[in-house]
Amino acid sequence: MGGTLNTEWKSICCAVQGRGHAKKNLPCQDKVARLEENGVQVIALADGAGSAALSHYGAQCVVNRATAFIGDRFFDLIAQEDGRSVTLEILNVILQALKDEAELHDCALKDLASTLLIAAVGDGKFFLAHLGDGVIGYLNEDGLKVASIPDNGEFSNETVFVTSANAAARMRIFKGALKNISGFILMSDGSEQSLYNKRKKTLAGAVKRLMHRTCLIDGEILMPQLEEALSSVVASNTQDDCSVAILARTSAQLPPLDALPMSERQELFQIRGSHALRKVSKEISCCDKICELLKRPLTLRQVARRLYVKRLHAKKKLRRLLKAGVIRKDNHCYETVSC
Amino acid sequence: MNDLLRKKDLETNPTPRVPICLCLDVSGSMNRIVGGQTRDTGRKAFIDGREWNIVEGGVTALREMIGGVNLFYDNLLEDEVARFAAEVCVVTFGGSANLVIDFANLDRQEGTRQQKISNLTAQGETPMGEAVNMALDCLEARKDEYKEAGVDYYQPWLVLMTDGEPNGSEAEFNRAVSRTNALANNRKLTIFPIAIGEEADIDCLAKFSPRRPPLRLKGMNFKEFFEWLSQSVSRTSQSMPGDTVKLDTEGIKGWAEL
Repeated sequence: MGGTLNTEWKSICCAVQGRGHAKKNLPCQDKVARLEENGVQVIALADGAGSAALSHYGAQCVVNRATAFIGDRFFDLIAQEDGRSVTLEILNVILQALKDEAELHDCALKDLASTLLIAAVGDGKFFLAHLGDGVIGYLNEDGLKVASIPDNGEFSNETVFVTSANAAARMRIFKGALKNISGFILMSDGSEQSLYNKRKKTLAGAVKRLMHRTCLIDGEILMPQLEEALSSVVASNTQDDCSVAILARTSAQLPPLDALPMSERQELFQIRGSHALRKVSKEISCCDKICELLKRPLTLRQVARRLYVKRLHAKKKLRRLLKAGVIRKDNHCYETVSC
Repeated sequence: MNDLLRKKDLETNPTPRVPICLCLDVSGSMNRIVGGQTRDTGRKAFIDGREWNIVEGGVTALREMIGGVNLFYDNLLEDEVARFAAEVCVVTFGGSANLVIDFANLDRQEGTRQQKISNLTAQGETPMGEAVNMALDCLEARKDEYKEAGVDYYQPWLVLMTDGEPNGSEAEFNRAVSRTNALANNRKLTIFPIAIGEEADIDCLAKFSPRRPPLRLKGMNFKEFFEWLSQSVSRTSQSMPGDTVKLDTEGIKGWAEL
C-alpha cells in the first residue's frame, strides 16, 4: 500500500430511473458509487438484471463492495502480473458480499444479478474492470477513446452478470500508467443510447463536457445538474435506467477555469448578456479575479481586503460563484474548485 | 434544453429491433369458407390435394387471416415502442414461396402494406419447406444488415401458419426442419407454429419446433391470435438486458388449444 494523496482527480456519479421502470413502478436497478481512500479514487457502476427480482439490492451491494475493495487493494492489484487471479479475487469478494446480501433478503444469488464496471486511479496508475454491457471510456491527449465495449450476447436483452457461471472468463481488466489520461467514464446500457455510437464504437462529444464540468464545478452543485441531464435528456432516449460515473482531472483537453475563453467562463459564472457590454465584461473580470485569488483558501475578510471592497459586497460576489459551483466553501474558507 | 448535455453532442442509436417473419399459407385450401352466407354452385374442383364444393359468397379462411395480419400491423403502429422496434416480413406459400413484404421499419412499409396484404390470393399447393427456408434466409439477411449498421436486435420470431400439410419438395422440407431446430435449440429463434382448423397437419408443424408445441387456432380466431402476438412483441421490445420475456400463456388460451 502506498501512494500520494490524489486530490487532483474529481469524481461524480449518478443513476436515474428509466421510463420502463417508472411505468411499471419498479425501482431503478442502475447503481453507482464512488470512494476516495488512501490516495486512490474509485468509481463503480452496476446495472441490475431486469429478470432478477431484487437486482437493485444486488447492484448496490456490488458497487459498495467493489469500491471498498479496490480502494483498499488498488496498489496490490495493479502490482500483480497474473490478470486471471486479479479477476478471481475481485469476483470472489463480490460474490461473498452478494451471498450475505442474499441471506439478508432470503433470496437466491441470481436474484441479485448485475453487471459491473470499475475505474480507479492512484499514484499515476489506473485500473479498470468490466463485466457485461455498458461502456468504459477515457480521455487522453488525442481525445475520447473507448477502453471497453459492451459485452452483449447476440441479442439485445442478453449479457453476462457477476453471478453468471462464465463471469471470470468474460471479465475484462486493464491497468497502466495514467500519463496523459485525464478522464474516465463508466456508463450503463441505458446511457449508451445517447453517449455512445454503437456502430462506430465511439463516445459522444457530450462525454468530454461531462468530464470537464466534473473538474470545474463543485460536486454538490453539479450533482443535481447531472441528475436533471440524465432524467430529461438521456433517459428520454431509452426505456432503460440510465447511469454514469466519471473520474476527471484538468489537463490540456480539460483546461482549468483561467485557461478557458471568456465565453466559457461567462457561462460557468452564469453571467447573462453579451460580453461586449462593458458591464458584463467587468463582471466576468471580477469573477476571474476572485477565482484567481481563491486558488488558495481565503476567508471572506481576506477576500474583501484583497479586492478592496466591503465585506458585504465581497460576500455577494462569492455567493454568485458558490451558486455557480466554481468555488466551494469549506469551514470559513473559500477556494476555487479547479486550480 | 439542458445546460450540461446539448443535443448536438449526443448520439442517436437506433431502437433495438424485434424482427418477425410471418410465414403464411395461401394455398388453394385457404379459400375454404369459414363463415357468412353461401350458395352452392353444384360444381366441384380438385385443389391443393383434395376435392372441394364450389360455392358463391361466404368468408374465406384467407380473408380472416388477412384481417388478423392487418390488425397485427395496426396494433404495433399504435404502440410507442413497438412501432419503432418491430420489423415485419411476410412470406407466403401457395403454389410457390413468395416474399410479399421484406423487412423494413413499419412506417416505411405503411404505404404499400395494406394493398400487398389485401391482394393476397389463395391458390396452388403447400410448399411449406420452401417458404420456411425463404423466411429463414430473410431473417439471416436482416440480422447481417443489423450487425453492419450497429443496430441491436432481439431474438427473431417466425410465425408459421398453415391449414394443411406440406406438399412441396421433401428435401426442402427436411432442410427447413433441420434449420429451425438448430436455431430454436440454440435459442436463436422463437418459432410459433400455428395450425388453422382441424385439417392442419399438427405433426408436421411440430417438426419445426423442438421447444414449443404447435398451437391449433380455436375456430378462426386470427384476430385474437394476432392481438396476442402484437402484445408479446410490445413486451419484448421493452425488455432490457437480463430480462426473460415470458410469453403470456394465459393469454394463449383465448385463441388456441395446446
